[in-house]
Amino acid sequence: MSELELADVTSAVPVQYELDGDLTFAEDGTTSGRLRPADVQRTPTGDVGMGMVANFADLLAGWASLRASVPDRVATADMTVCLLPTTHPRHLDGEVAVVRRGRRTLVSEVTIRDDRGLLAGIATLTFAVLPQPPGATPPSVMDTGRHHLTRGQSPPIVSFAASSGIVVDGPGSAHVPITPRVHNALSALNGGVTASLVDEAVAAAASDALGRPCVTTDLHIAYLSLGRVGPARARAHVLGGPLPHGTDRATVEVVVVDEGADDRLMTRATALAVPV
Amino acid sequence: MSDETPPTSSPTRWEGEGARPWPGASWPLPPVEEVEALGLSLPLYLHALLEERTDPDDPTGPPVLVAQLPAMDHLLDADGTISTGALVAAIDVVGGIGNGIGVVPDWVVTTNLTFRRVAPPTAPGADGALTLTSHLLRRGKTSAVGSTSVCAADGTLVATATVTSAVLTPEHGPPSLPRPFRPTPYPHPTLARYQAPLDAFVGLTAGPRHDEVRLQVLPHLRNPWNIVQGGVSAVLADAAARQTLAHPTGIDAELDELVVTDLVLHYLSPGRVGPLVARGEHLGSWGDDHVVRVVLRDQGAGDRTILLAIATVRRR
Repeated sequence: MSELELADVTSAVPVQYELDGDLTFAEDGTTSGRLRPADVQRTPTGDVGMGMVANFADLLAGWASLRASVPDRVATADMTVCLLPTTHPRHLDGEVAVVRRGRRTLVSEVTIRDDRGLLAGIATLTFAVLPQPPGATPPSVMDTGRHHLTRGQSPPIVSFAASSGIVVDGPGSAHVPITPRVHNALSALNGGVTASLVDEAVAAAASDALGRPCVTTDLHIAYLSLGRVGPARARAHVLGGPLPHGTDRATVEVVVVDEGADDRLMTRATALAVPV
Repeated sequence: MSDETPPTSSPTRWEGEGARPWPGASWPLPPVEEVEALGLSLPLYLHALLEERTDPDDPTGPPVLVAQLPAMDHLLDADGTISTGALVAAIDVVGGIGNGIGVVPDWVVTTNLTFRRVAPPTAPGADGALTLTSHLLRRGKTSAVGSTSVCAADGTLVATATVTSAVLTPEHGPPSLPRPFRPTPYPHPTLARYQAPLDAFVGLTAGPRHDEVRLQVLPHLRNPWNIVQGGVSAVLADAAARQTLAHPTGIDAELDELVVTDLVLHYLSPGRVGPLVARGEHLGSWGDDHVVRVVLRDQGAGDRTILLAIATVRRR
């Protein structure tokens, strides 16, 4: 946070515009995309962390689901992301398959590969379909073709989490102010930034429990209510602790509450983390 | 209800072209009409005693559902802990009912279930009877979300799960259940089938491919709406994930040396016809944690995909 000015995180420019890459909507209805992480958005080992991948998956699957649901809107109900080891990928490619299309929910699977075509992760997201109120303006949908994500914004100077305003307060605790920069279409904390917040809290809790820097490898988030006031606070704790010496993984449970709304429960998540 | 005696010879009956007996299976399921006559039921097999309690943190809110799951020999893994398949099947029952009683007069069907065993998988105290506690976290118009914790008798946390359900309005109302639930011990059925291992109780068979597990949709595997119970699909996913990773196609490990520590299930559509065929794919590994994706299809319903699962499997 110290590298940022307050104006950076209170800017109305969505933080997702710092994700360099593109989205492609093909004539046949498929959605795919490419993410080119900046150096400052990578992990210390040069890989792409859970928070970035979760945002990429949410973006891809969100657009695919919205296009499948117009004139109705969609909201992420839950997200599962499973990462696989990669070696400094130059970019990540994602492809969406809508695997269930119901009246009230859509389920999408996002397959993510590195620049060599090797599997880098797989994400499954459920979207609630929100019926369009009569007379309301339907959501705008991007045209078929390729669209740049950054929309002409300047390149990031800090990590995605820091640029979102996420602050790690200590082992297992992190918070983020809910500003227009991290809003979704409903003026609440967006699902991707929530995933980044959870990722930061998981890594902090696991690193403390295992005594080594850790990364999140597997994440499940259930979105329970909208965070509108803020700050959103993530509290993570390692299950089964204290962990025996030599343990090579940590199972972590996380709750996210809206502190400005009487600690209303926003999210429950569980995750796996391993030492880097 | 007629009784039956354990088989004394090798199984000779399994379903589907090219299907093979499940490793170690010694309880071939009888024909469909016999299963119906036996009146088998998965919840009864699991022998979970349910109790509704007031949530001390929210006395006016929906009740907390607590279930005692006895560690009966036939539910245990090779290392003496309750198997992941049995645990997830029990969580589907307890978490599902826990969400259901929070939405009456509507009812629920499971749409997602995330399960995590607490490391290490054979934590001290993980054997013996278990207590499952289900809290309703959210009740929306179209969905309900609950968390279920699994604890050993000494309070050690064994596993945690999140169960998401779709809220439905059944034509004839919610199922008739003895509310409020009270832990009235009932005699365990003397039917020998109830002492069979879970894999045999549901009737798993190995497919013609090494990474494939299948079962026939028998009456005792269906819920009141005549669709395959979520717990049964979970048992299939657990078995297929381990089978995919086992020797000779995966790592150098036998099936019973492997345990699914984490399992994420996305139920996409109901299984109605069968046979159900689960097929796994080993995606990659983080050290000793191996990630397997499982797709479960209803072959008799146009090969429709009914479940997607991601499992983390490791050696015990």
